[in-house]
Amino acid sequence: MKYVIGIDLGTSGTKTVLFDTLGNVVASHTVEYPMYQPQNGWAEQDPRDWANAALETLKKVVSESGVDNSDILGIGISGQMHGLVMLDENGDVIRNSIIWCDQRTAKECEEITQRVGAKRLIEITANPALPGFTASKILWVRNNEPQNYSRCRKILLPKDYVRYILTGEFATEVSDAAGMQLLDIGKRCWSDEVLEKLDIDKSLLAKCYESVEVTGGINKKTADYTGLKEGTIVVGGAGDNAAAAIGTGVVEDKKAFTTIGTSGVVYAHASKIAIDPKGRVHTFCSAVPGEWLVMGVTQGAGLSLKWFRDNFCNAEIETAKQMNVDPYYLMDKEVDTVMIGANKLLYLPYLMGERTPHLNSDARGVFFGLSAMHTKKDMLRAVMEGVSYSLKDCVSVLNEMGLEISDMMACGGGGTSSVWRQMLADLYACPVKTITSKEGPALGVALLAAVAAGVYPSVQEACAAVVKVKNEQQPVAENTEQYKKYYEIYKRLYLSLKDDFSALGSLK
Amino acid sequence: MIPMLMGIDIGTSACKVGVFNTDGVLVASATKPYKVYYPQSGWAEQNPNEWYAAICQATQEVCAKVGSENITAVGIDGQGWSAIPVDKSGNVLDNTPIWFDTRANEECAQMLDTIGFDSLFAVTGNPVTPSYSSPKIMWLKKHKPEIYAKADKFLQSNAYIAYKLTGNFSQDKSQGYGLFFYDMNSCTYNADMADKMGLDLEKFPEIVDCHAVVGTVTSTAADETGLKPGTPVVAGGLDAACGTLGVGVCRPGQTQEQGGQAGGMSICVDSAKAHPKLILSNHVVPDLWLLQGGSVGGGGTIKWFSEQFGKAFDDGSGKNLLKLIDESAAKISAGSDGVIFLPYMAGERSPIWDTKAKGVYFGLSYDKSIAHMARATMEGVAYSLLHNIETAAEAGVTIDCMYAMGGAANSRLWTQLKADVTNTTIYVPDSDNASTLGACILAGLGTGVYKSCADAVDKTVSVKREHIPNIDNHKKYQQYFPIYKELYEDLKDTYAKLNNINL
Repeated sequence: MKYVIGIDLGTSGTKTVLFDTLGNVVASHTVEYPMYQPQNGWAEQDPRDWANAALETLKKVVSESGVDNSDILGIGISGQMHGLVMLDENGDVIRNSIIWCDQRTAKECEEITQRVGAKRLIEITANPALPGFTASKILWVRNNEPQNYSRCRKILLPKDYVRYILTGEFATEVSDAAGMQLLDIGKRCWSDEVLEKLDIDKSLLAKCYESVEVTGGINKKTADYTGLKEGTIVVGGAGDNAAAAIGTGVVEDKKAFTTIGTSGVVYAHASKIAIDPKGRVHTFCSAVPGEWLVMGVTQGAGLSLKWFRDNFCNAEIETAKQMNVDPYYLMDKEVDTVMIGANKLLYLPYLMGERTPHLNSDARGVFFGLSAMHTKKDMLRAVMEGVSYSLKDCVSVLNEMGLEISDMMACGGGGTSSVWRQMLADLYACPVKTITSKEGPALGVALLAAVAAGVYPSVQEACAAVVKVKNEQQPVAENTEQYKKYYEIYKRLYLSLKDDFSALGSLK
Repeated sequence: MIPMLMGIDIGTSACKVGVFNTDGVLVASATKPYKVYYPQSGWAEQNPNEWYAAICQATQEVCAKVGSENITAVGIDGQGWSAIPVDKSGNVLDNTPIWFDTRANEECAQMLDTIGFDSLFAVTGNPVTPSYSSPKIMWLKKHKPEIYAKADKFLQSNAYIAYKLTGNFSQDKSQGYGLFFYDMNSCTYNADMADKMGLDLEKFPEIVDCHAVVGTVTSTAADETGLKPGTPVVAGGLDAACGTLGVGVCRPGQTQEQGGQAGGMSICVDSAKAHPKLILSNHVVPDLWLLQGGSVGGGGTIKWFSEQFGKAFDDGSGKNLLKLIDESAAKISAGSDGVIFLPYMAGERSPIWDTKAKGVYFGLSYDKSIAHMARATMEGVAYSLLHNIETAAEAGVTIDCMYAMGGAANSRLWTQLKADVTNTTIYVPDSDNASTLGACILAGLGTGVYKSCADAVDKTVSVKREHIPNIDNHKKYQQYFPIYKELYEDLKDTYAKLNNINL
């Protein structure tokens, strides 16, 4: 038997999984690390924590699995996107990494828009200037910590820093690089125009590969420490979402996945580039060579349900504790007793403002249509339906761009709820499925390594062999008709309330 | 012997009989329930004979306690908008549709069509709604012509009980506004208008002041009620107006603020100043009027909130949930950090008059807690009060101070934030029996116990709390109130769309 390894560098920890080439988990290990918030809205991590976590987990899975290290064909790394790692001339970390959820760079975003031009920025990078993206973080350091910036010789993304430690190579790949706002998304290479306008020296950036390309081999130091064989290939890998797309088999047109985590995303595969000129959705490079992913984001998805649980459902939390089940399990059961439309009650999930499709940070959550007959159960169903409508909004924008979706995978915490998946199936009017593997991103990059090692001829064929569907929910035509009526009202509500959101926002 | 007065209240679910001494102290009381019948959707009826039977039980019980010889006079307050057909001998010919019965929709449309809003408004000073007495009588004439023909008189709830006690028919002024041919300026019937409605003026009793003695307790009634024969009975009036008097509102500018199941306000005015979006009636106090606003969401909203989410506030201390909700809400700053609630939990009455309106929580974000929503719920009700007060100002009516009535007044927080939102001092009277006390005051006024209503209020109503507006909070609320009003305007078409969805 031959094996591949996937490393998933997350925000709370790094998980490394050793799979056989059929995608079965042989060994898995996680090491956690802290996130620092030096100021409100700031978020940083120490890249050395990531490197140590990768080395520790690799060592553990190699020894625990007991496999012959020459049977390990390759390694893929997946990681949190957007984070900024700066190295000096000795390859040492200059400052903590400013990571994806850091919000300090509003001013730099304006600067970027001004320097590049809003329209041109979307044409090249497929995205409006966003605080999450790396470019604004680079500018922030230049504007606020010039001494750090002047010492900087290399700029890397989080997983690419780990690659550097493992192989000694400065390299990145298109799916992750697409989140820096420096890549020409259509041409899949660094944009000289953007770099020039932002006055960033191209030599600071790593060489950009396709995700399945080999970027180097395990160096001696790493081999000695982890028990891996020196020279074991390390492929480009992928940003976490692009890796998850591979891990869930979303590698061809008409396939997409919905993740209901804290926020909700709808990712659709696109064999031809599609960019929304309004910037409502993000276009990234897919880990499938020469293809793309388009992503819509709703801010308050699982967050809405968590908010409702923590504020309103202490009875459910208590009962769940006694029954030794998850409170969400009980909440699901309650929701299932309420009919579609929650007795004519609607919820707008804009607890954190909204990205797709409104791009409005002033938007706020709303319960609409309450009457004395409504109960907590109705409100709970309204919350799940409201999140589902916002995900449907994402799908609608993708449809508008010409991306049809006939096959939807469900991931994230919310994806484990069959009630929620049925709502999505009915609203999307397409089957919604889950897969057997729980290792989405790690499996995704491990498969990239398997392709690079020649186990499978292509990413698509690797997915076909490995990714197995576990549950499949079919849309019910009658339900779809019902939801349509409420979705119309849902859409109307935002338009009706837009000015009121602005009025409220202007009071603060 | 201390003189005592009896007040009889004809509520929706029960009657209440209270005996007060002339200092306003409740000496004895009894409550007896009766039924509401719902023969069809939108219909709600009661049998006046059942009211009387329940009242007799209650008066018997109370008289046994205080001695009927000690009761100087009787006053009655009753639910509005009855239409009780009785024959010459006072027999009830049919159940009466009650105040939330809406069967007479067509009659209203017909009235607006043939007479026109402006002409109607010029006479009645009120918007046309199907729940009022005259459309119901028009409905009866059309659908049960034999009963209309047989009816000698149509009576209001309190007038029917006054008749049962004294054998005399009456129509008091405070209930006059339920008849769209009652002229609000002159306090007389408008024959022309009655004619246009096809109603026969002879079928309506003589109009009397609310404190007018309509007769004395007959021997039959004495047997049935336990009251002493010959005890004077005054006409009484509308329950809400009697309650308004019972909390102390008897001078122009004084305002009653209502937080029972529903909410609302009644501003005391010295002339018939009407607004097409508010309700105008005579006060039970002579020569005064009440400009009223009624909102659907009063105390009921927090009751609903408590039923759904009360458990989330339970800290195991065994304290009353409403109290715990209050304590949590008190920790949130004025304006609930931008969470705004529209309290239209069953449509809304004045000033928006939209049966399709629904409740809304607006401005939620992840850092808002259930305590924000609790406070926003109370603030939303206060905004609806201010909305009505602001509407009254359009008719040139301003308020000096408010007197709180109903369960919501038990919450210091809620009462204070109403004072803050409206920038008006609110007094909380020390009595839960405002309606029956008001009826007793009328009985005392009609029989010379009191020189005037003001004299009676000074003697009987004591204030237990005074809420002075906090100007800083008021300024905050002034920022949010325009958004509150705008929200309805922006949502009303969507309400209609939601309403049109067929389940």
